[in-house]
Amino acid sequence: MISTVIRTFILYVTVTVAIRLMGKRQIGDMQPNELVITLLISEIAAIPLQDTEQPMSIGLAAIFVLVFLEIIISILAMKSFFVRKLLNGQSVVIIKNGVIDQHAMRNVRMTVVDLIEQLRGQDVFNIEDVAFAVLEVNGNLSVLLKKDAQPISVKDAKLNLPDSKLPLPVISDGKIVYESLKALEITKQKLNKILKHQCDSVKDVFLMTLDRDGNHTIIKKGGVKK
Amino acid sequence: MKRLIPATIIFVLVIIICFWAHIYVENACNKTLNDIEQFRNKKITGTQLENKWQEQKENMSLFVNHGFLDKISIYIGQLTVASTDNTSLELNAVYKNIESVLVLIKAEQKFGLHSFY
Repeated sequence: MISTVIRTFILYVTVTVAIRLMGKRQIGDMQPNELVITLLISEIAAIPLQDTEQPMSIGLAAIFVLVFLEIIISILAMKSFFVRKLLNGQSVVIIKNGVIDQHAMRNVRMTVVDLIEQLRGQDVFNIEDVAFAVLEVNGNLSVLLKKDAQPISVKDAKLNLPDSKLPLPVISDGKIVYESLKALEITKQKLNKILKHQCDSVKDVFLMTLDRDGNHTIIKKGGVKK
Repeated sequence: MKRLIPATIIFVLVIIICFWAHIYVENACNKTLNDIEQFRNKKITGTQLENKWQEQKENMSLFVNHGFLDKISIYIGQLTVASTDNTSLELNAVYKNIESVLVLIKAEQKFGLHSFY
């Protein structure tokens, strides 16, 4: 029993390190080879956990070899278009100027129901409004609407709006986030000055965000204050 | 690229450990065979053989299927019991069993068509 607990701990750490080495990606964003490696790693990690007769070194060795292969393959794919195409496939244009390419759909084994569902997911309800719909290698459908179907933008309306500034969390759960202060180029004293009018202490703040223009939002612990 | 360096280091370590494990297990198996031979020639007692095997087992368990190691432990136990009865026929059968399991352990570490497929 205790050996299972220790094995689980070691394998958890190993798989976490392995996934970390491979880089951050969500399941939905994975390329086919990344998905295969992730599935294999989880399967291999389960073997020494289920079967305590198997030495753990076999599972660990297999995991690390897979990670190495994944990194090598991703580097090759990054350097070579041919390898990238071979491993991940290519994007396919499914709709061009409102016309569905049925041949392309057959090639990627996509049904009309799948296509309509994906279009609805992008707030597109009329196929004729689509200038281009491209099926990406990760299975997502990218849609470009025709000019007359596109929603009006600030650029179209020729409005002169100020640029959006990125608000950063400067206090999180009662603690100052010094990285954010550094990025915003403000001192702790200046932060305290802003805070002084609305809050007694940093410890009372659940979240405070601040942007370069000094706009801030403060959420006190147990309440909301703006 | 920054991920390639730790991954390569780990991969190289894994390969080195594979070769080292192969040599280590081969030596440990030969040593066990040698211990059994000594027991056969009454140079060491059954308890000494069991103690020596226990030590080998602990070290080998890092690389070898624990089922094989447990089998050898049982056979060595049988060997110790059978030696007191002096039934050579039974002893020979147990020796053969231990030898065949050790051969299996060695084969598991080697790269051959059998292990490959």
